Amino acid sequence: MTDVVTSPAVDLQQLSGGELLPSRVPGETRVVVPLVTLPRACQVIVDGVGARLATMVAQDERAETGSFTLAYTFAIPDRRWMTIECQVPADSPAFPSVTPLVPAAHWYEREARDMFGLEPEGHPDLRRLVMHDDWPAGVFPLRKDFDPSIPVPRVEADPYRFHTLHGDGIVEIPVGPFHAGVIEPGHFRFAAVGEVVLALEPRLFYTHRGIEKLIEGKSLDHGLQIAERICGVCSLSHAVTYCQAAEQILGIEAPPRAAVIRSIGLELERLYNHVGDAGNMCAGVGFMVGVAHGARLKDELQRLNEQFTGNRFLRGLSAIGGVRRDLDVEFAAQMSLELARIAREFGELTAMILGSETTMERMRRTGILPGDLARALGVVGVGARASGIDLDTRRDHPYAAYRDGETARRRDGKTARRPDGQNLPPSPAVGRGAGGEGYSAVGRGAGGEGHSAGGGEGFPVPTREEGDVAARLLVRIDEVAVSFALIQALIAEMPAGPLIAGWTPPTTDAAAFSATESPRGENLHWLRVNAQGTIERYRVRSASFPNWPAVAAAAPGNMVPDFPLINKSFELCYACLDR
Amino acid sequence: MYDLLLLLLQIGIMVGIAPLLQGLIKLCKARLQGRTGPPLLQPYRDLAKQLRRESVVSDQASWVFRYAPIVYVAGLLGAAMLVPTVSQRSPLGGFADAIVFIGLLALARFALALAALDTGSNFGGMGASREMTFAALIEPAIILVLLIAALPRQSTNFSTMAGETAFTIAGLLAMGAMAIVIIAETGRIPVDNPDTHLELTMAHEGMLLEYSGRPLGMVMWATQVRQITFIALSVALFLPWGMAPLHDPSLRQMVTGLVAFLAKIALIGVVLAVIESSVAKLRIFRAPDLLGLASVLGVLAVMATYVVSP
Amino acid sequence: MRVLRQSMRGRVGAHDYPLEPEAAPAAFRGQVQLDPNRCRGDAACARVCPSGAITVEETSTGWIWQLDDSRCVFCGLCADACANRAVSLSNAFELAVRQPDDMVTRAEFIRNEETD
Repeated sequence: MTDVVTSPAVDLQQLSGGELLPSRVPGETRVVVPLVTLPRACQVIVDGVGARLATMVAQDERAETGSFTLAYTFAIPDRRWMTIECQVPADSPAFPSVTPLVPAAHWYEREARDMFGLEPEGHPDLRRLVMHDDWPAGVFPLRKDFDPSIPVPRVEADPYRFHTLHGDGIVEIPVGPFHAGVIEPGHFRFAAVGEVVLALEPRLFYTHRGIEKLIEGKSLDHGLQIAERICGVCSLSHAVTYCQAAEQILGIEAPPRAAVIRSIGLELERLYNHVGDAGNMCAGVGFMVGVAHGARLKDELQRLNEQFTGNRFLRGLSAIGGVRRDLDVEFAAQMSLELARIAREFGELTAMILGSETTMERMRRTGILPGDLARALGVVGVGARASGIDLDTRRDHPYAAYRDGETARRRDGKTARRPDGQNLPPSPAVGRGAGGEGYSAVGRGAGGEGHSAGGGEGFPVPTREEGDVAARLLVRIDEVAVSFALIQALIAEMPAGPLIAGWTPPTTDAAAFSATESPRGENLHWLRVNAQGTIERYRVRSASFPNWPAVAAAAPGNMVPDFPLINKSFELCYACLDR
Repeated sequence: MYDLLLLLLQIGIMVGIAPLLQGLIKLCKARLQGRTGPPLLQPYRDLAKQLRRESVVSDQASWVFRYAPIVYVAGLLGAAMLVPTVSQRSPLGGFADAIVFIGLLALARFALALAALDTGSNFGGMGASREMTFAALIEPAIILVLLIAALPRQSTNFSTMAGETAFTIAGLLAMGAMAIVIIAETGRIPVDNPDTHLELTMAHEGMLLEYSGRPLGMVMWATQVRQITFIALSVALFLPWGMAPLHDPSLRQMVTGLVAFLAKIALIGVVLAVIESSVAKLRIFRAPDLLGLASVLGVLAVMATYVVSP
Repeated sequence: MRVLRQSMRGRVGAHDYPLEPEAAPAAFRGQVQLDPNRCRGDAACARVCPSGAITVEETSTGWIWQLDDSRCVFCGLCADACANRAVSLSNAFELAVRQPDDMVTRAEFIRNEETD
């Protein structure tokens, strides 16, 4: 699949100064650059065309080429991808760090250092990231010569050095990794003066399961079962991303009916997450009525998931080549009615939350993530859209039923209905309904309309400029409206046809990647199979990965007791960050 | 003899009913939120469970941590005995002084805050710091409220103060202040959240985090007693209807007093549940505004006492 | 106050499970069950099982089919793979047991040459 897209505005290859390689997925420009020019090449792509670092894949190809490979993949606004690769020699595993020029590379490079032993020279922070202190030095789990079946003896080591602030009245508050509630483990180190947070440093990666290593050598089918279980709450999104990457490799495509069923499932996943999160954000401010009703509606949506796929987390729906469950007419009709009712009740709930002055007061101007900072960190999903960054994988890199023509046709002449019955304005100036005073007439970011590319056109992507907790809540509420409308539209026009495309295990070495918009933002899976048809390398970049640093960035200046609220407003996953 | 009976009755009410009131508030809150909610008697079961459990004490803790619950419980039980409930007569008669009451509460609070600081746990420290901040703002309001009630009779003895306050401007202002005092002192939304599991937002709960087993049960129980004490105080001062008279009440009057008392605290409990369900917690920096309002109302009430009724 | 009126109107959302039993929907993927009359011992289920929960062991007289619920991820691949429709996923979801060994279901088959 050699499909090099050249834009009239800028030729990516020339800009990066690299040598062209065959692209792996449609719309990808793939170049290889010499090691020394890597940071500069990445910087010109980011600065030149406003690209966002989407993932960085390190590979141990010492057996084949005698070197490690690093591939920085960037998402380019008009539906393209740009991958900049370079070879890192095996005898001197070090490379010039991209981080000083492109801050979004920060964690990727630290992870590559932990997992592959590739030293990012000039990286400002060379502490351990994924592997904690007791992991022995010089053992790199993702190198091919690491045998996961042999237990690794743990070592005594110096404890992790947190950044510390010194000064009169500065108190360090360590929180976690165990918490008073039943949540995932994560350590947060606050530096505070009284109740005001000066700095926050999260220490995460307590849930490492070695999925990327575990999956190596497994068949594609078996790999799906693992990929589906990376995370609980974006299980389907991970499964579909994995399937799409595999389909890309196999050169097959899910049949139209399967694509629609996948999209319905993905929107159901978004719904139960966003509805539950909207309620949960109320827990951060102690507005218990909102919490209770959010939890109730979330459970009703999950029951619907259970009736649809046999699993509350929509597991077992997606398969490579299509889907395993059909959505029959009868159940589709029942689901449509049920969703209409839940949409109405969610409308009542949002009116209740937005109408609660004490709740909104707590959320406004709390945990502000400035747009330029979000951009620099490569933030995705709700966190990005609430800070004025107009991005949504469903529109920017369409897949499943969001692809060309399909959604556009469905959306023609239709406007999404807000759950409270008001029209969702498809154009700028997203006026608020009840209670949103002070939030009216917010211009949508660039690209909302000026988008020329095919089917994603007109796909409503709600954005806000404020970047605070309230903005993240409101973006979720608007997205819920879009999802409800989208599911109804998809149910109304289900194409007939097969559910799954047949395939045989691959016989050549091939790689591909795929992205989907999970409830938390863009999930990107990079997959490579070898000639034996088993998985050679699998790299998962979940939405939580680029977003966690943003949580830390949004906390300073707020009060300590507001942090749970800020954290909930991003609602990130610890497990899919770590894998 | 009568005083002894009254004291026994008081112990029964304050210590025995306190968890029931807690259960009632929780149940009301659950129903208001569309949940089934815990059974009415759940707080008793929780207490029974905690009291049976062994206590784990941090090896960082000193004797302060061990003995603080005793001071806390003793202080609050003592304060609970001063407040007239069924009868206008306080069970401890001559000791039932408003100043003693405030002193006992402050002692209890001080003991718990010390214990919270003692283990060196961050949440204990944060909880103690928040609790003391609130206390510094709410105690003046309590003093002012009690002063209003004391002024007409020129006595700070609860037995004389009870049943006196009428619906004057001063009385109404003081009631407003008392309402805020109750919310703050019972650790409820919008000042504190009694049900939170978010350790970073805790105030009162933060101080208890290091306790377990029997001492935790004792402290929880005492906190429930503190809640009913404040409600009983506001009832005695501002809603005195039905209370048995100060001297020689008949059995019938006592029974009426008991029923009226239970009905009144239940009513206030429901009102608290409604308030908790309808508002979100305030930002910690905004909480002083609300607490300050209590003091302002108190000051206004004092002024009103002199200006309106000479 | 408006908020409360609204929320009072709502009914209590929860059921009294476990006091009132609750059924899983028909599509639910619960405990794997085996129809002994249909099983032919071809071990297709064991081969596709991603977590090794199902094992089929050949014996001199037949085969032993074994399911370890503690390993099962309820993916349902075994049911899809079985040509004889002997394996299916039931609606059973209350799988708590008192002993770890109780998580294992074992079925021993004696090969009947006539039906094979």
